[in-house]
Amino acid sequence: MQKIINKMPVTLRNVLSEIPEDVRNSLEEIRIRINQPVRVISGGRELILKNCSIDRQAIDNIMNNLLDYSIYAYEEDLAKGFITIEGGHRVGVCGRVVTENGGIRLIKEISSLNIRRSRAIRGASDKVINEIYDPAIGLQNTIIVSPPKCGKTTLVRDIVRAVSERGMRVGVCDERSEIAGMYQGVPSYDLGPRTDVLDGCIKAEGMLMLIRSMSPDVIVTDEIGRSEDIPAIEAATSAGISIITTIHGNSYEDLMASKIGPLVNQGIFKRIIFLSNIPSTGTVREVRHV
Amino acid sequence: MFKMILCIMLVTACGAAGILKAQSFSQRVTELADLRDTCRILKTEISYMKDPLPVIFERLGNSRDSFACGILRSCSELMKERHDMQESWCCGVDMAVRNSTLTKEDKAVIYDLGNQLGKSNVRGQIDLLDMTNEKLAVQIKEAESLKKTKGKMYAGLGFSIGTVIAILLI
Repeated sequence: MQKIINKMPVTLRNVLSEIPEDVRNSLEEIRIRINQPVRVISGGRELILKNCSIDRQAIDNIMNNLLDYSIYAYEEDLAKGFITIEGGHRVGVCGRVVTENGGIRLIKEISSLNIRRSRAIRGASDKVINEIYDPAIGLQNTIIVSPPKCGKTTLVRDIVRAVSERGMRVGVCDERSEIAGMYQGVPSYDLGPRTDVLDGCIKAEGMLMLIRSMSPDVIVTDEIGRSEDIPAIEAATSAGISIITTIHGNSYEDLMASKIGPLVNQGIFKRIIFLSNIPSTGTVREVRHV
Repeated sequence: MFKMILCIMLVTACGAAGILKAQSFSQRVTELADLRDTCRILKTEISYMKDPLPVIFERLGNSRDSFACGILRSCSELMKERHDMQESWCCGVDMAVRNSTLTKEDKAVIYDLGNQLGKSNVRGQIDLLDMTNEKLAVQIKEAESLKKTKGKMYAGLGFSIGTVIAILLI
């Protein structure tokens, strides 16, 4: 949390440091919009920092701090609309989109930032680990389904640690640098003693690279859903490697309607975990055995 | 005998002063060449490694003990203390140029680089470093020309002045 606060301009830093400790501890997001007061989401509630309005200069300063004064280093991420900063925190960006050859090249004149706090909750996987892992059978292919902000990444991160501590070699393909929160080659979270992280790599290619290079027992990745991901998942499962992954959705129907639907139909995923943020983020709504 | 010793000391002192002055021209060439080499490495680091500037500055700054690496080292340390990049760059340059022989124009090239460093995409940064290299090449050419002409002149002039004063004293 302090790492995020340190990236803010002095005025905002002081205001953030003054918010009550319980609010700060359960902080989920910091919403920064140009010419608007900063809003903090904590414990599902919104807190408006009225004496802290953000102008063009301030938002540029925040961006410079977040980007370590190195736009070029985050060029590709910025084109996707977000960057991942030290600690694995994701910063969503809105502004003027510049296109080139039909694709998004960069976002400039930044007008909104959404800083999403990432944190490790040791034991978050305790409720599901026995459902997906059996020492006699091994790990079942598992997909975690939930809408955004329900704790998919937090759960998957703790599953990585738990499985790794149980003796399995885990290969994490962390396209958005959120699972491991790698910073200068060091993970920001405890991912267990047998975990290898391929950071920032496109999932479809990364999974195949892990299979070839690291011979993992399990491959873990976040937010699948593109058709290119399917051959990589098939390659992993046919090589006897277990898969743990996540996807956006709210129900089994959403999952079946996604690009991953055919894989679910084939019975590749033996466990489907549905998460919810009611009553709180990370609530396991259902673990379906397929 | 005393006069003789005094004259030798005088000629030696004036000659040494001349050589020192001449060396300042060589030092400028060395410092500018070091800056140009560092810009080349910086370009490779930015285009290939794509690490953020604080990481590159720390790595290059600690890689060797030279004028340009001193700037990067100071800048990296100041950035850790939460100083702004441009502010850190200016302070780093100010600290490094205290004992250097660079001219106002040479310093302007370095300050200009700091104003734009990190503010654009890879293509923009490569263009910026190429432009800085070209500017430095012009400065180096001028510095080498001064080294050849004025450098030799000051070295010779020191001994000559020393000799003339010694003769007058005798």
